[in-house]
Amino acid sequence: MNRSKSSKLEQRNDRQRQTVLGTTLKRLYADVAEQPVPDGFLGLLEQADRKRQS
Amino acid sequence: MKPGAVVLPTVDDVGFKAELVKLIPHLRAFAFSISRAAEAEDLAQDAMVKAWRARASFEPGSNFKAWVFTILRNQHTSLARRAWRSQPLDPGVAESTLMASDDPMASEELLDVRSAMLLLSFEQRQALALVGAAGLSYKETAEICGCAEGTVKSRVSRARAELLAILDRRKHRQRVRTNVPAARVFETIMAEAAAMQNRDEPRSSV
Repeated sequence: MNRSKSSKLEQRNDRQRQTVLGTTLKRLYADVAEQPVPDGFLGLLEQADRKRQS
Repeated sequence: MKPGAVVLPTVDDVGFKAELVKLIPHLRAFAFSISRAAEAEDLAQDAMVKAWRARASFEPGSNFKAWVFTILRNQHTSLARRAWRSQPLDPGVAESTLMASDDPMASEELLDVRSAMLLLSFEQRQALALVGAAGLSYKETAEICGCAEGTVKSRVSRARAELLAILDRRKHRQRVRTNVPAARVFETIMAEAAAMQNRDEPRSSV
C-alpha cells in the first residue's frame, strides 16, 4: 500500500474514532441528565428557601 | 422608556427557583462528567445552593444555564486546585490504578471514557465536558471558563487527543494483562499437577 493511501486510511480511522468518542461523551452526559432528580436536591432548595422566608 | 429599548424579563424568587429546578439534571450531568461519581452529587448540590444564594446577582435576560454552570465550574476548579496541592496526581500511577467507575449501571464503554476523563487536567476536562458532552458552544464555554474562545478550542482539541491516547494505552495494557495471567495460570496448573502426581505415586519403602 502506498503512503498516501495509508495516510488517508489513518485519517479516516481518526475521524471515526473522534466520532465514536463524541457520541460516547454525549451519552455520558445524557445518561445522567435523563435520570430523575434525587430528593436531596429539592429538599436542600426548600431548606434554603425556608431560611429566606424566616 | 426609549423606543426600541430591550425590556429584560424580571425574575422573582419563585420563577428563579423554578428555572433552577429545571437545570438540576444538567448540573448533575456536568458534575458527573468532570468529577468522580462520589463527589459529583455534592458538587451539583453545592452549585445549586450557591446559585440560589447568589440569585440577586443574576442579570435577568442573560444566559441562565451559563451562569449556573459558571458557579459549578468555579467550585470544581477550587476543589481540584485544593486536591492537587494536598496530593498531586501521578498520571502513570493513576492511569493504571483508577477503577473504571462506581456506577454499576453504566456500560463498559461509558465507564472507560468517564474514568479516562478524570486523568485529564481539570481545565481540559471542563472544556471537553461543556463542548463535547453538554453540547455548549465554544463561546458559551469560554464565558463559563473565563477564557478566550481560542483557548477553549485548543483545550478541547488536546483533551480529545489525550483521551484517545489514554484509552489506547489502557487497551494495550489489558491485552498484555490477559496474556500474562494465562501463562501464569498454565504454569500453576502444571505445578499443581506435578505435585499431585508426586503425592499419589507409591513411595518406595526404604
